[in-house]
Order: sequence, then C-alpha cells, then structure tokens
Amino acid sequence: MADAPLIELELITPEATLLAATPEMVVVPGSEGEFGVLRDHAPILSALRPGTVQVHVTFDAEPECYFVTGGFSEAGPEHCLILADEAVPVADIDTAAADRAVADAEAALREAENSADEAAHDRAAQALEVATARRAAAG
Amino acid sequence: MSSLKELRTRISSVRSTRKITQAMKMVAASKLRRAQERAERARPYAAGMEAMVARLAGTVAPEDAPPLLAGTGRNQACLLLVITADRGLCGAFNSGVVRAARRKMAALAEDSIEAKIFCVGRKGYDLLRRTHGQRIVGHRQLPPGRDLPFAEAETVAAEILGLFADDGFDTCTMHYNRFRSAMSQVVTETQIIPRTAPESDEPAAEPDAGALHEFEPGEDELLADLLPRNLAVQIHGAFLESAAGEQGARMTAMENATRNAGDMIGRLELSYNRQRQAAITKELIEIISGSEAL
Repeated sequence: MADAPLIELELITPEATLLAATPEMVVVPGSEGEFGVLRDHAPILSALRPGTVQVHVTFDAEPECYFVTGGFSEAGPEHCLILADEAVPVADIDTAAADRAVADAEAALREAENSADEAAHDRAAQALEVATARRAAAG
Repeated sequence: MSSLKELRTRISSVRSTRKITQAMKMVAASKLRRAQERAERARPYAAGMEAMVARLAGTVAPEDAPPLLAGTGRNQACLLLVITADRGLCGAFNSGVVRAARRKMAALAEDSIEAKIFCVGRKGYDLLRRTHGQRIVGHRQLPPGRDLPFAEAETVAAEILGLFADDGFDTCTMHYNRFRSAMSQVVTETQIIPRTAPESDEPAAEPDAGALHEFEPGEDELLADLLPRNLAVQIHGAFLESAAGEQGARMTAMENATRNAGDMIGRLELSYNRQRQAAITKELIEIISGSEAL
C-alpha cells in the first residue's frame, strides 16, 4: 500500500468542499466522454456533463460515487480538481424524488416546446438531462 | 428642569432600548460566525475557478478572446453593481458603499462615460433611487433566509450578462464591503467585466504554460462556459463577504449603542437622585421653619 501511486483529489462545490482524498483512481464524467485519472495523467482541463464521479480509493474496492450536475475539472500528474456546480453522494439521492424530477422536467420540456421562447426550451432540455442523469446515477 | 416623574420614564425607556440593542448585538454575533464560516467554505471553489480561468486565458490569443475577457474595445458605459444589505442599523455599512458608488459615478461623469447602476440589497437601492433613479437599470433583494444560495448569484450574473450581450455597458465594477474582521469592513471596488486578475497574484499565472493542457471541449467553448460561471462565482463571493461584513458592522454598531445607552442611564440617574435629595431637603427645611415659627 505504501508505494501505491495516489492522486490528490478535491471535489468542490460553490457552497463547500465536499471531498478531499487521495484515491488511486478517479473516473470523471467529461463533456466529451468519461475519463479515468491515474497518477501521472497528462494535464487536462475539461467541462463536465451531468453524471457520476467515481472515486476508487483502491483499485479493488467498490468506488465511492458522487453525482454532479455539471462543472469543470482539471487534472495533472499529481492532482485532480473537480469544480462541480452541485454534487451529492449517490447514496443520498432519493430515488422517488429523482423519478418525480424526471417527470416534472419532461412536462416542463413539453410545455416549453409549445412556446416560442428558445432560451426557455434550452433550459428545460438541460434540466431534463440533469434529472435523467440523476435518476440513472441513483440506480 | 424636568420633573422626577419625567426622569423616571426617561430612564426606563433608555433601559429598554439598551436591552434591545444588547439583544441585537448577540444575534449579530452568532449570525456573524455562521456567515464567516460560509464565506470561508466558498473560498476554495473561487480559487480553483480563478486558477482555471487564468490558465485558459493565458492560452487564448488576445484577438480571439471573447469580450468578457478582453472587453468590448469601447469605454462608453459602465455598470456599477452595488451590493448592500437589506436592513439598516449597522453603522456606516450601507452608506459607505453608496458613497463609494457616488464617487465613482462622479469620476465617470468627468470622463463623460455613462454610468448605470444595478443594486443588490434594499438599502442601497433606497439611497440611490432618490439621487440617481434614472440610472438604475435593475435591482434585487436578497432572499430573506439565512443562507445565500449560489443560484441567487447566478440569477444576478445572468441579468448582468443579458445587459452586456445587449451592449448595455462596456465595463462593470462591483462595489461591496469586504469582510476583514468583525470590527472592520473595507469598501472594495472590483472590476468584473472585462476580467482582471485579482491582486496578490504571486507569480503572474505562469505565462510560459509549463504544463501544456489538453482542453475538452476546445478552448473557446470552455472559455465561453467558464467566464459566465466565473462571474457568478465572483458575485457570490462578494455576497458572502458582504453578508459577513453586515453582521460585523451591526455587531459593532449595536455594541456602541449599548454603551451609549449605559452612559445615558448613568447621567439620568445622577440628576434624578440629585433632584430627589433636593426635594427632601426642601421639605425638611419647610417643616423646620414651620415649627420654629410656632
């Protein structure tokens, strides 16, 4: 264990630092696809899509999962910084509430489709994407 | 000279005022602690965001930089974002910010730059409305609850960005109270559009970009996402600083008020006792001289 190549991970939201740990691997939901961060990762700056951040404290252990609604991530050889718009541990997601949120977002999107307001439509579509991803993360 | 009865009422009224100011001071002190913690918790995010923007900004050629980063190239109108509290009774907290904003507007007027105002917090709006009503393009009250959700800052940022997109202004400065300690708040002016690196930037954000970053998606798209977000983060930071400052200012103001009330009670009691003794002495003299006359 002593020589395990660790990375310094920080998961931060505007309200608080949610997690500061040194796992062996982090899987980040990048906007262009998920990517795993190990030690000596090439420097990367990526936007996030709504999805799950998986924190593998050790390779064999079950990952700790956090749902993020979006944000940005920066990774380098030794560190990984995730600036999430909002983040919650997956275990804390209320499945029923997530279901309801999906239904509400779908209804809002249908309503927005009928109106001419393009921005409202985009917002509704985005809200639906977040709600769906949250539901998917809850499992 | 007021009568004994009047003095007694006076004393009891000042006593109850003192009770109120004392209670307000305690409330402010406990709110201050919470506001301070919140401001501290938000700092890592702001710092991380700032580092990312700085890194990205370094890689973009100045001519392709979006207006939020490089400015519009004009300087004809300036938006002042004035952040105050919703409530008074906190010393010079609100008037300090408003005074700074007025000074800024006077300076802008000399350079014939049009000034516009966006007020956050009721007190600043009330103070500026009378003198600069026609310049106010928007105002907003903070939600009454204890915490300032990030969403609130996002709404304000969205409104400002909307104005910016409509060519409503070219530069934007933010005026607010920065929390230094419970005893002192510093009125601060920060330029938020176009972006400026915050002071105390130790090494000028590694210009050689020792670590060449990969960007996902492209730099331009990332920057287009990050800059509005960064604006919201800066505004949120200012909200939190201002909230902590407000409680600090109120605590100090109420402490002074409590002390003044105490002094006043002392003075009133002194004159009350003097008058009471004078009255007793007078009565005694009357009795004695009455019995001597018999």
